[in-house]
Amino acid sequence: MNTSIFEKHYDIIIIGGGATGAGTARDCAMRGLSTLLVERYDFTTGATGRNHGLLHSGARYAVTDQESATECIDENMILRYIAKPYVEEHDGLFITLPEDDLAYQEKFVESCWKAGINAKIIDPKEAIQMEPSVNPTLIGAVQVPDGSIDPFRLTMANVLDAQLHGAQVLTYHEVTGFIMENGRMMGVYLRDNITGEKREARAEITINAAGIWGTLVARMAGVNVSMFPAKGSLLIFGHRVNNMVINRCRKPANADILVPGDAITVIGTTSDRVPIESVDDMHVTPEEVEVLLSEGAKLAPALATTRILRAYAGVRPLVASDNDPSGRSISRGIVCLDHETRDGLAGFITITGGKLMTYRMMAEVATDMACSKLGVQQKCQTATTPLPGSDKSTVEEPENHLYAFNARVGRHGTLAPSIAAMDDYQNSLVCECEEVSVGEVAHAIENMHVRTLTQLRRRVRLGMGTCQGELCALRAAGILCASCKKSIEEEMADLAEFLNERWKGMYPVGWGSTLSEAQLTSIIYQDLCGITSPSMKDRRQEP
Amino acid sequence: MKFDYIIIGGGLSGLTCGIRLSQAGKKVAIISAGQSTLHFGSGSLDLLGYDNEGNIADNPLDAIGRLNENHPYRKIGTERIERLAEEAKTLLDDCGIHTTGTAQKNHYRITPMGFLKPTWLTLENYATSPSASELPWKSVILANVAGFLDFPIEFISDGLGKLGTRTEVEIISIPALKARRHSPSEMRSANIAKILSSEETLNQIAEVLNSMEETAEAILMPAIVGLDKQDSESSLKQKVRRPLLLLPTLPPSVPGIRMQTMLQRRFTQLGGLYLMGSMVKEGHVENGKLEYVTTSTLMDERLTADAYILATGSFLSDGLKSNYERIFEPILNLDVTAKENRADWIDPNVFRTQPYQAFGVKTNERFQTSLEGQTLENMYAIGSVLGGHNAIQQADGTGVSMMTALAVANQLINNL
Repeated sequence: MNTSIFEKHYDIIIIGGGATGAGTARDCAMRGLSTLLVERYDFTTGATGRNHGLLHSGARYAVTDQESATECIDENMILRYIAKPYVEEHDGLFITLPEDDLAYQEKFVESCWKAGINAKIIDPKEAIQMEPSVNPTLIGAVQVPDGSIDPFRLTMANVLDAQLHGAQVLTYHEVTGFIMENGRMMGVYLRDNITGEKREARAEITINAAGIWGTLVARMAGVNVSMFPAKGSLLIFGHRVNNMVINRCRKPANADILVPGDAITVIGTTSDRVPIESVDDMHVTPEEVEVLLSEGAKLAPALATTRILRAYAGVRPLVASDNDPSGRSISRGIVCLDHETRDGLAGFITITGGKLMTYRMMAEVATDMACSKLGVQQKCQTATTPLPGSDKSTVEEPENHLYAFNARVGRHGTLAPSIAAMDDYQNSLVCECEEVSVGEVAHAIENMHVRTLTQLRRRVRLGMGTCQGELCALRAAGILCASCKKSIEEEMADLAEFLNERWKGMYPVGWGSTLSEAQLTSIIYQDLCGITSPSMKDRRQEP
Repeated sequence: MKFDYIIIGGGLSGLTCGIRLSQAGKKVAIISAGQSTLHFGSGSLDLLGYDNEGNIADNPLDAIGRLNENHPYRKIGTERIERLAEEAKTLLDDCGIHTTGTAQKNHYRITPMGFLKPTWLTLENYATSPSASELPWKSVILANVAGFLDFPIEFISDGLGKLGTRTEVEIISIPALKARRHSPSEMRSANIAKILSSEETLNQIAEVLNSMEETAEAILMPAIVGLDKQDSESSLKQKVRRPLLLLPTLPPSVPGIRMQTMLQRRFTQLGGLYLMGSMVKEGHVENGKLEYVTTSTLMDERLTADAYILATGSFLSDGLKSNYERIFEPILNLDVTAKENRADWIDPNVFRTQPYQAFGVKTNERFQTSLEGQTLENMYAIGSVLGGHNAIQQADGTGVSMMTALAVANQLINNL
C-alpha cells in the first residue's frame, strides 16, 4: 500500500463506501478539499447495495412525509441528468385494488402535486395497456415519474469522479478509533482488513457516512446518535416481469413496490426493527418470503409463477424518533449532525437518515457544513455536473460492431469505449448471461477496486444473471488469479466464498427452478470440479 | 402402439436399460424430453468414490456393504453389483465406448480444477492416476487453446504442481480456431471439437504439439476433440509423438456428449425407438398397474407396454420437482422419499450436506414404484430419480444410473 496516502494531512476523511460516502467524497473533492474515503469492506456492501434500486418519484412519501417527497422528486430529476446511464426512465404506477380505499387516491394525488410530483390519474384500462403485467382487477391507477437506478454503478461513478478530482480511496480499511487532540477529532485509526496492518490517517474534519453502522462509529467517538435499524427484505425474480414500477396506492406497507431493473424485477420490502448487533449478518426469513410473495402477486399476478433468483435484506439507517415498532412512519429526511455544537466534539460530522435517492443531497449538506467550518467558499456543483459515463448524450459505436458493446454502454455509459476491446482475447465472453467480456473484467480490476469475484459482481453484474455464476465464476477466477497476482489458494477460497454468497441468497427461496439450478451448480463445482469446502489447501486425496 | 418396454427418460440410465433390453431381443421405446446430464460429465463413470464416512473408497465393492440401507446398491447387493459392473463395461464396449478401470479398485481422474477424484471407469485417452496422492508423470506440458476459458489452466497447473508433477503451460492455436474467435461466444468445448474433426485441423494441431520441446513425458490438453466418435481423438493421438492425454473441461462435456450419442446410436441400431424431444403427458393407472402413457409428440396415441421404467433424472432434469409446498414426481405423482418441511430440504452452507440431493422416488427391493402406498407392479424407477444417496458427496451418480438400469433390465429379461 502506498504509504504517502497515510502521511498526508487531509481536509476531510469520510467513513463509509456507500452512495452517501462516495457522493460526499465526490462533492468534497470537487470543491477542492483534499479528501480520503475509507470503507471497511467493499463499496456498496451496506444498504446501498441492498434495496430496490428504485428511482423514487417521491410519490410514496407524499401523503406521510412531504419533506422526503420533495427531496425525492428534486433528486429524481437531478439523477436523470447526472447519472443517465445508471438510470432507467420508465415511470411508475400507483394502483388501487378492490380491497383498498379508492378515496385515498384523491388525497395521494393532491399531496403529490403539493410536493411537485407530476402525478396523473389514468383509467385502469389504460394502465393495463401501459403495463400488461399489472393486476387486472385494479380499480384505480396513478402514473408518476418513478424509475430505476443501479446503486452499484451509481456509487462507483461517484468514487471514480472523486478520484478524478484528487480524492484518495481505501477499501477494506476499517476505522478502529479516532485520533483526538485537545478535545478535537484529528483523524482515524485504521485496520487493513485484508492484511491486518494498523494505520492512521489525519484530517481536519471526519465525516461519518457509515449508514446504520454510523451509530457504532459515533459511539466509538463517544457521542450518541440513536438509530433505528429497520430491516427490509426483498426478492429478485428471474426475468423482467413488469416494465413500469408498480406500487400500491395506500399508506406505505409491506411488499408494495415492484421495480424492474436490467433483466430482472425486485419486490420489496418488509420492515422490521432489528437489534443493532445483528446488522452485519442479515438473513431473509421464511415468513418474510411468504409476505413478499403473497403481497407481490397482488401487484402482478405473474409473480406467483415466476422463478425467484434470490432473496436479500438491507438495513435502513433511520434516525430514531417516536415509538414506531416498524419504522415505517419515521421520516426518511436527512439528518446532518454537527458534533461540535451538539456534543462539544470538534472535527466530527455525522450524515445519516435519508435514502439512496437523496444521497447527493446528503453529500451536499455534509460538505456544506464541512466547508463552512474550513472557511471554504466553493459552491456545490454535483447537481449540475454529470457523473463519469454520462458526460455526453450518445456513445459512438465503433466501425466494426463489437459484441456486447451495448451491454457495456449500458453499464458504463460513455466510459464504455475505454474498455479494452482490441483483440479476440479481450472480447471473449466471461459471463454470457450479462455479456461481460474479458476486457470489461480487466477494466474493473484496474479501475474499480476489484480483487474478488463478489466485487466483480457488484461492478459489472457478473454472475447476477439467471444462472447465478454457474460457469462465469470459474472463468473470472482464472482471470483474477492472473491479473491480481493472487495465490491459487486465495482465489480458490474466493471462489468458494462467492458460491456460498450466491447460495445465501438462493437458500431462502430454495424450491422450484432455484433448487434445480442449485443442483446443477453443485454438479459442476462440487462433483465435476471437486471443490468440497472453502479451504482446499491440500490437493491430495488422502485415502 | 405396443412395446415390450417403455422407458421414460433417455439419459445414461434410460439408455443403458434400453440397450440391455434390446440386446435381449425386446421391443423398447425411450421417451426422451431433452438433454442428458452426461453433458455435464467428466469422461469418467463413478461407482462409489467415497464411503459413508466420506473417506475414499479404495475398493468400492468393499464399501457397498456398509452403505445406508436406503442406498440403491443395497437393494442390489454387493455380489450382483460386481457382476453388473462387468456387464456395464462390456455394454459400453459394445457401444464403442472404450474405458479402463475396474470395480475392485478405484483409480483417480483429474478434475477441471486440478484435483484428483476417485472413479471407476475412464474413457481411453483421458488422463488418470492410479494413486490418490501423485501423478504418473514427472513433467507434463499442459496445452490449452488460446481463448478457451472453460479450462481454468491456472488452477489445473497449480494442482498438477502440488501433486509433484512439473507443468509447463503452452497456449496453442491454429488458423481455423483464430477465425472462430472473432465471435466471442463461439469458444466453447463442443464448438471447438466440431472444428477439430477434420484431418486438416488435426494435422495442424499435431504439428504445433510436436514442435514443443521434447522434455516433458506427456502432453495434457482439454477434452475438445472427439465430439461425435472417438476417431478424431485417436487420429490426433497417432499424429502426436509424445503420449497425449485429455482432461475434462467445464460443460458442455465433449466426452459426455459423445457417450450420449454413442449410447443412443447403439440403441437405435438394436431396433429401439428413441422418441426425441417428447414428454409423457399422461399415465393411466388402473388396479395397481400403469395401463398406457400418452406423449407430447404423439398426441392421441396411447403407448402401452408390459412394463414401464422411469429414468427421468433428478431435479435438474425435472425428474423430480419442488414447489413452495412439496417435493413431487411430476408425471404420475409417484410416492417419494423427501422431508416434508421445506426448511429440511437444504442447508445454509452450500458445502455441507444438502438433504434434497438424497430425495427421490420411493421403490421396493425390486425398484418397483408406488402410488399412494400401493405398489405399481409394472412401473420401475432407475437412475438419478431414485433417492437414498447423495451423489455429490459419494461420487456414485453414474454408477447408480448404470447399476440400477442393468438390475431392472435383467430382472425383466429373466422374468424375476
